[in-house]
Amino acid sequence: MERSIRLLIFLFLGLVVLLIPLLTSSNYWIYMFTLVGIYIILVASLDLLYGYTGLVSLGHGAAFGIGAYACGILQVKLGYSFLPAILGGTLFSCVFSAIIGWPMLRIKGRPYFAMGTLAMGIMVTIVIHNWDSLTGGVSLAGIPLPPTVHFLGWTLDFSSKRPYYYLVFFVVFLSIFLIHRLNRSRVGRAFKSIRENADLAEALGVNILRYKLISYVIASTMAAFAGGLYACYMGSIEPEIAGGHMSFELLVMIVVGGARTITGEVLGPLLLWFLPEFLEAAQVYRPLFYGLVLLIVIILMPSGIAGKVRSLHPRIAKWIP
Amino acid sequence: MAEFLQYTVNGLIAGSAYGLLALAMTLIYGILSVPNFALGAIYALGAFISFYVIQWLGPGYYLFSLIPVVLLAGILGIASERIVFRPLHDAPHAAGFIGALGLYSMMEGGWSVWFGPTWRSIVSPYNEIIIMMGSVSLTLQRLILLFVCLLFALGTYFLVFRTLTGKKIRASSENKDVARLLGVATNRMTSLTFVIGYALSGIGGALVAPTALVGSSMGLTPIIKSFIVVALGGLGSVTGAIVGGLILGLGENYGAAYISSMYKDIFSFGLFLMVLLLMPQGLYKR
Repeated sequence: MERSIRLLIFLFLGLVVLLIPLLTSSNYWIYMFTLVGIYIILVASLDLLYGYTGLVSLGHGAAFGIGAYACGILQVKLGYSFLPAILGGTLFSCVFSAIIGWPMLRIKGRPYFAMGTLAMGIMVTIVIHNWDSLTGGVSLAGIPLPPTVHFLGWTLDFSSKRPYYYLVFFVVFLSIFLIHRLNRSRVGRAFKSIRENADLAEALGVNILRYKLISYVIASTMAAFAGGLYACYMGSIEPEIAGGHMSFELLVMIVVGGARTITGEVLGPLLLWFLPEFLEAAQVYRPLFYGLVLLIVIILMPSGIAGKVRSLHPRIAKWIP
Repeated sequence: MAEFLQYTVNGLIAGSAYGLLALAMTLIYGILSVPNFALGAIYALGAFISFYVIQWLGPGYYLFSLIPVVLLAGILGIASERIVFRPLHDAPHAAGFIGALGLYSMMEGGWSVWFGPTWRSIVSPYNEIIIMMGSVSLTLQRLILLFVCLLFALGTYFLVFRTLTGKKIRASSENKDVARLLGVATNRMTSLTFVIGYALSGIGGALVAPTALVGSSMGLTPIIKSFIVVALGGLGSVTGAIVGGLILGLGENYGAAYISSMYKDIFSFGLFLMVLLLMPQGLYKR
C-alpha cells in the first residue's frame, strides 16, 4: 500500500516536472526552475549528511564550488569537453572530501566537523579568489554549454533552456532515488545507528569513522556534480558559490523543509528560493530573513515543515514521503 | 632579528584579540557545549558602537564606548540565552548549533539593515602616533588594543579562578546536575556566563574597530578563528584560550611574513587540521 502511494506521488511529481515547461512560455521561469532543481540536488545530498547521518556540514557549498570550478577549469583552461570535465570535477571533489574529511570526522562528540567544514568553505573561497591564473579570480567566464546530442532521431540542443531543464531534473530524480535507495540498505542502517547513538553503534561493531566518511564523500560528490551542471548552465561562476552564505542557505533549506523526508528536500529549496523573490525583498534583508526563519523553525518545529505535517496524523504521514 | 621582533609584536597584538574572543567562546562552550557563533555578530556590534562613539564624541572618548558595549552585549546575552538556547537545551541532534547559526545570521543581517551594508573605517589620531621601542615600531592605537585586551583577559581569568562566582561557573560547566544538587543556581550561572562572554566579545570588537574595517560581517572570520584557538587550547579551557590565541596570532604573522601574506587566513585552517590530527585533546585538557 505504502509503496504504491509512494510510486503514485513520484509519478505525479514527474508529470508536474514534465508539464512546467509546457505551461509557461517564458524562459525566465524555466531558468528559475532549473536553478531550483540544482538546489534540490544540493539539499538532498546535504540531507544525507545532516538528516540521515546526523552530521551538520557548513561547507556543503565548498563541495559545490569545487565541482563547479573543476568542471569550468577543465573546459576553459585545459580544453576538455563537457562529459570528461564534469566527471573529472566530480572525481576531484570526491578525492578532496575524502582527504579533508578524515581528520575532521575522526573525533566524535564534538563540533569539529561543523566548524571545520565552515572554515574549509571560507578557505576554498580565499584560494579561488587568489589563485587567479587558474581560477580567473573574481569570476571564471566562458564555460561552454554541453554540445548538441543526436539520439535516436531526437536532437537535444542545450543552447535553448528546455533541454537543460530536463537534464537537471533527470539528475534530481536520479539523486533522490539513489539517496533513498542507499538509506534503505545496510549502509543506510549504519548511518542511522550513528545518528541515533554513536557510542552504542561503535560498541556493536559499526566502524563509525568509515561510515561517516562514506556519507560525507557521497554527499560531496553529488554536490560537486550539481556544481558542474551549474557551471555549464551559467557560463560564468564566482568564488562566492563556495562560501559560507551558500552553505548556510542550504542548511536553512533542509532544516526548514524537514530533514529525512523527500518532501522536505524539495519543499525547502522551493520555498526559500521563491519566497524572497515574491516578497521582492532587497538583497540586504536576506540574511535577516533566513536567520529569523531558521530560529523560528528550530525552536517551534525542529523536524521542519514536512516533519510537522507528518506528525499530525499517521494517515497524513503516509502521503508525505 | 629586528624584523623578527616586529613580527613577534604584531603577532602578540593580533593574538591578544583572538585570545579575548576565544575566552568568550570557551566560557560559553564550557557551559553549553555549543560553539556560539552569535559572538561574531556581537563583535561586529561592538565595533559599530565604537565607530559611532568616536564619530559623535571624538576619538578621545574611545574607551568610553566600552560602557554601552558591555551593557548592550549583556542584554543581548541574557536574551539569546533565554529565548534561543534554553528552549533548545534538551532538543536532540545539533539543535543548539543550528540555533546559534540562526542567531548569528539574524544579527548580522540586522546590523546590515540597521547600520547599512557598507564597510567603513575609523579615523583616529592614535593611528598616527607611532611609538618606537628599540627597532620595533607600533601605533599607539595598537598598543592600547594590546593592553586593554590583556587587562580584560586577566580580569576574566581572575574572576573564573579566584572568586566564588568563578568556582560556581566552573562547577556548572563541569557537571550541571551535580552543581545544582550542591546548591549552585546553575541557570543563573549560565546567564552570567552569557553576559561575560557576550561582553568580552563586544569589547574585542570595540577595541579592534579603529585598526580594522567595520562592517556587519566583520565578525565571521574572527569567530571561526576563535573556535580554532579554543580547539587548540582545549575545549572549555580558559588558560588554553589565552595561550592558544597568542600562538595563533604569532603563527599567522610569522607565516604571513616568511611564507605568503596572501594566504594568511589559510594558516589557521592548517593549524586546525594539525590539532585534530596530532593532539585532538588540545593543549590544556579540561
